[in-house]
Amino acid sequence: MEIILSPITRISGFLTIVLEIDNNVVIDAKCKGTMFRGFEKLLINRHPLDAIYLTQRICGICSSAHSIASSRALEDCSKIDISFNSKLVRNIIHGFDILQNHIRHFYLFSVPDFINVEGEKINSKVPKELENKINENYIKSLYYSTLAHQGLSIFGGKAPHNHGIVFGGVTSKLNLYEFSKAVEISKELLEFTNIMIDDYQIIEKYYDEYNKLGDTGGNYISFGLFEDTPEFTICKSGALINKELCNLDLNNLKEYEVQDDISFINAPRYIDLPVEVGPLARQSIRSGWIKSSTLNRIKARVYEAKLIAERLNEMLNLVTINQNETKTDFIDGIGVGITDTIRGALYHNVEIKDKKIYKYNIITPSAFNLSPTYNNVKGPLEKALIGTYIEDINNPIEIIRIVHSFDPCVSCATHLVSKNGEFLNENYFMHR
Amino acid sequence: MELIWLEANGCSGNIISFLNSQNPSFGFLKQKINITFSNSDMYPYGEAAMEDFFKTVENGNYILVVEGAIATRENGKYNIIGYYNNQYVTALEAVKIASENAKYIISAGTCSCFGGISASDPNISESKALSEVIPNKMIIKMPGCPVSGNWMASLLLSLLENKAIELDPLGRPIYLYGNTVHDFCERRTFFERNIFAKKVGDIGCYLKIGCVGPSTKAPCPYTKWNGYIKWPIGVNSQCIGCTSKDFPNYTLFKEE
Ligand code: SF4
Repeated sequence: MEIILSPITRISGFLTIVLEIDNNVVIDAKCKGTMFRGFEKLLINRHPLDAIYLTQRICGICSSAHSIASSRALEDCSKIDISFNSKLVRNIIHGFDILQNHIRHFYLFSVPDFINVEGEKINSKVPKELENKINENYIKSLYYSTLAHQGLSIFGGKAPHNHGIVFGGVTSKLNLYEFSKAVEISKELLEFTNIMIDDYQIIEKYYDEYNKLGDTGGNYISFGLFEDTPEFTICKSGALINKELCNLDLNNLKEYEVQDDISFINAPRYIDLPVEVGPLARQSIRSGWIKSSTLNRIKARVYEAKLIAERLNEMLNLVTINQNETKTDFIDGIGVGITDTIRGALYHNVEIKDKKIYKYNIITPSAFNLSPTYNNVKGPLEKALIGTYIEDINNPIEIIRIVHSFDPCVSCATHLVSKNGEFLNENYFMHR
Repeated sequence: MELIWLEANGCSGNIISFLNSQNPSFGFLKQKINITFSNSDMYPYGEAAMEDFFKTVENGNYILVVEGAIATRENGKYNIIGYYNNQYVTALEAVKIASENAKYIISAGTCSCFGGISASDPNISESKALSEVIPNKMIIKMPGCPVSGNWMASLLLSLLENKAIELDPLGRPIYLYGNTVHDFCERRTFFERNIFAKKVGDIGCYLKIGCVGPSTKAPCPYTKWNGYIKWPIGVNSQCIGCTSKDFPNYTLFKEE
C-alpha cells in the first residue's frame, strides 16, 4: 500500500515522502520537494555583487553559507584572494550560524521525535525524570539559538540574511565593545553544547535500535569547512567512496534532471553515485569512515556543535580589531565557490559577462541528501528509508525520525531546471 | 487565541526570525497563544498536521500569519503544503481557506507583503503577494527580508492585548514603519557633512553606493537587529530597502 506523508513538519520548507509498504516494511520511498522559486534565473542580468545578498534569500536557516559560497565564486572569477582576517570573520559568522542551526535542529526538530515536549504525544522510551531534564533544555535551547544569531549579527548586522560578507572581504570592523560581547556569547554557547551532548547520550541509550536504521550506503563527500583557516579547519574537502578517502575532484560532480509532477529537486551525483553530505560525512572524512545511521547523523551534529563552539572561541581571539577589507573591482569570467555548511556540501558557480551575471548555478547540500531516484538508483534519504519496519502504519514515527536526522531543507533543495520540456531555471551545470 | 503560521513560497526565514525574538520572546508568546499549525514548530505531521489546520479554521478563533509569496502557476502547484483527504493542498488553496475565518491576517516578510524576491523577474512560479490572491481582506503588512522577529512579536502581543494598531495606506503598522531609515540613521551626520563612503565597509554615509534608506520605511535604526547590538548600516553596509514594495528589483550595490 502507498502512504503519502505531507507535510513532513519540523524541517525548513515543504517535503513530501511517498512510501510503498508491504507487511509493515517500506519497500519503496520517494522524496519530493514541493516548492519552486528559480533562483538561478532571477539572478541573470543582475549586478554581480548583488548575488551575495540575494542568494542568501534561498534559505532562512543557513543564509550565511550562501553568502560565503557566492562571494567565493565571485572572487574566484576575479582571481582575488582575501586576507586572513576576512577569512576568520567569515568563518565566525558561519560558525555562529551553524551553532544556531545545530541547537535549533537538535532540540526543536529532533528531540520531539524521542521524548515528550509540551504535553504527552508519544510513548517515550526515556524515563520520566530524564525526559523532564531534556524538556527543560528544550525550552532553554530557544535562548541559545537566538543568542547564536545575536553573535552572528555583531559581525553581519542582522540574521537571517547578513550584510557583513561582501565581495573581497567583510564590512564589519570589530571594536572591543563588540568583541567582549562576542566572547561571552561564544563561551555561553560552548557550555550549552556540553548539555546538548549529554541529552543526546540519553536519547542514544534508550533508542539504540536507530543505530541500525537510516543507512544511505555511506558514501560521503565534503567541500571543506573552515578549510581556508588551516588551524581551525573542521573538515577538509574530500570524498569517502566505498570507504576509501580520496581528494575531492569537482569534475566528478554532475547534476541530473528528474521529471516529477510536483517535485522540484534535481539529482546531484558524485562519480555518478548518490552521496550523503552533512556533519556525519564531515566526521567520517575527518576521522575515518562511520556507518551511516539515524543516530550517527544526530550524534555527528551535536558533537560537531561543540567542536565549532571551541573553534569560534579561538578564532575570536585572533580577529584584528578595527580592520575590514572590501573590494568593488570585479571582472568578467567564470568562478566557482564551494564550502561545506550546516547540511553539507554547497556549490555556487557564476559566469559574468559585460559586468552582469550571465549564468548562475547552485547545488545545495539538501539536494544531495534529498535527491530523487535517477537511473534506477535511489537518492540517499530514499535509500535510508527502504527496509524500515513500521510498527503502526497510522503513525510511522520511525520514518519521521530517520528523515529528521538529515535536517532537510527544501527551500535550498529545489532547483529543477526544466519541467515538461520547458526551461524553468536557465542554469545548467557549467563547471569549467 | 490560536495561531496558524503558514510558510508559503519563500525561505522560511521569517519564522526563524520570529523564533529569535526577545522581550517578548517566542516562548513568552507561546504561553499566550496556541500555535496550532506551523510547518517549523508543530509535533503532528502528514494528514494529522493538515487536520489541525482545518480544525483551527473551523474553530474560527485564530490569527493567520503567512510568510512567503503565493505561487499561482498551474493553480498553485508550484507550492504544495500538504496532503489531505486524498488530495494535495496548495498554499494558494490554504490561504484562501484560512483567510475566511481569521480574526487577523498578517503578512510576515516582504515576499508575503509585496511579492519580494519570490515574485521577482522572471517569476517562473507566478508568485504573488498575499493581498493579490485574497483581495478585499484586511491584511496587516509586516515587510522585511525577513521581518525582524522583535517587530512581529511586538505586533502579536499588542493584538492579544487589544491595542489599536494604526496602519498606513499600504497596510503597515505606523508604530514600526512610520519613518524612513534615513530619518533616524546613525550616519545622518555624515550625510549632512557630505562624507560619503566610496565603497561598502568604509565609514560614512552610503547614499552614493546604493543606500536606499531615504525611501525605505523601517525602524531598524532604533530597534536594531538581533540582541539590539547591530543592524546593516551599523556594520558599514548600505540599507538595501528590504522592507520596500519594489525590493529587490533594483541594483543593491552601486559604484560611486
Ligand atoms: S547611510 Fe543611508 S540612511 Fe544613513 S544617512 Fe546615509 S543615505 Fe541616509
